[in-house]
Amino acid sequence: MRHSALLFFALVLCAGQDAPPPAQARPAPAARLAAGLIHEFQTKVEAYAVVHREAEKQVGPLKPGSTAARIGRHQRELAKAIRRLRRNAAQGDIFTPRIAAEIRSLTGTAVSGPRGARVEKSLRRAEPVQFHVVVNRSYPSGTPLQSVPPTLLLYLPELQSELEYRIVGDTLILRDTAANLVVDFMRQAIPGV
Amino acid sequence: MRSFKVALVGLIILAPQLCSPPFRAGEQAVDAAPVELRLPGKKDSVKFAVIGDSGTGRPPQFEIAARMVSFRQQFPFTFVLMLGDNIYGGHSPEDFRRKFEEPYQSLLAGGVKFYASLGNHDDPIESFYKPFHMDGKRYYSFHYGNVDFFALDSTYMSPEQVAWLRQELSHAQRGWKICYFHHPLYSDAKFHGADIDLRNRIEPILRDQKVDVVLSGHEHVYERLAPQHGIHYFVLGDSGELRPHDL
Repeated sequence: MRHSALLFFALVLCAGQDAPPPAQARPAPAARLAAGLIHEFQTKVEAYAVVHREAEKQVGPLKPGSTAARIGRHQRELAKAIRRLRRNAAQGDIFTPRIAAEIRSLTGTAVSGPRGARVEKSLRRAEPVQFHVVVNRSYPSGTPLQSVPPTLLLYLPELQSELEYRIVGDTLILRDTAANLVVDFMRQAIPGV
Repeated sequence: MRSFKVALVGLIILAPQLCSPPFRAGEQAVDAAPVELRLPGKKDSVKFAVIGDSGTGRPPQFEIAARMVSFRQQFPFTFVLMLGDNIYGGHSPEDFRRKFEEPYQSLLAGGVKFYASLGNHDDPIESFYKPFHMDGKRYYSFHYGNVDFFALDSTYMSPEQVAWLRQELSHAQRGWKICYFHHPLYSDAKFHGADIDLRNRIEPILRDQKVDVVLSGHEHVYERLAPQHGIHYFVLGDSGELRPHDL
């Protein structure tokens, strides 16, 4: 017979006040990218978002409160429509060599500065994943999405809502969240990883 | 010292006992027998259950679910917080059925609501899944009675989410503030440990905004930590599998 431990808490909190934490330094990471490169990167990301929206028009929006079947169907159809619209997409379309070099510089700063040890530890503890990354291919089903350390996100340029950064080994991926697609990637994105 | 207008909140936490041997494939879950409850189940208190790392579809998940049904007769919780890793592996309709709808069938039929947060094994697309009550959002807030709840996406703590958290917490005035998300800020477990970078980023906000309780999963164990800076931290990631010898 197996037993479950059951723990109840009557939470009557009378918590003491602590001294306020030291203010966190907030770098302005995007500002560190050369202005021209920011513009170039954001133009490319926006161009992708336009493609995504066009694909979504074709398959219809996914509404909150959907069934699992509807979610799965929408994800597959959206990915198919995006692949059709970007059939010639290749690695480096968004992360051009110049942009990639600048991003490496930013991530290098994030992991080598005063926050470096924290970021490295966070990466190690985030259940790292490995797979062969290919543009326009789905992020493999069943593979965890390694969490991205908040400090890295602080240093990386902002993305359109359709996209997110993800890490696979030493590779930084641009992932379409709704379509579960690898949009672009750059290797050796994080020094020391 | 802070005090609250609220008398108490009932919080259930369910976990397999540490001494339980691990389940083997094909093993059936055992029906849960009633256990004595010692909980101040005040009539008007906010009552809820918490599960973490639940979505294995394996017998331990079913056993915990059976316990929840059993305990609900004595402690009528109306909703459940999910601390991430809600659906392990694939995300096909069959996965949602086997790893969520079947185990919690009785609770769902009984009108119990589930409020999910995202773990590293979850696809953020889960936020559109009706029974998870996320309204298509990766992070969101809601309230019951005099408690404000904040579900965060700790796999992707973007500057936008951090700004949202600060603002939402500053507007919460109901009395209790409870945050829940997947990655623990503190943990003594060996498999993953605490996420120091995440802690550094959001703990100052949690402290400044006087959050009372933080619930996390990720580690497949149960931990109740000594309050840190006035915040009560719990790690509960054993609702679908216990990882023996992790502490």
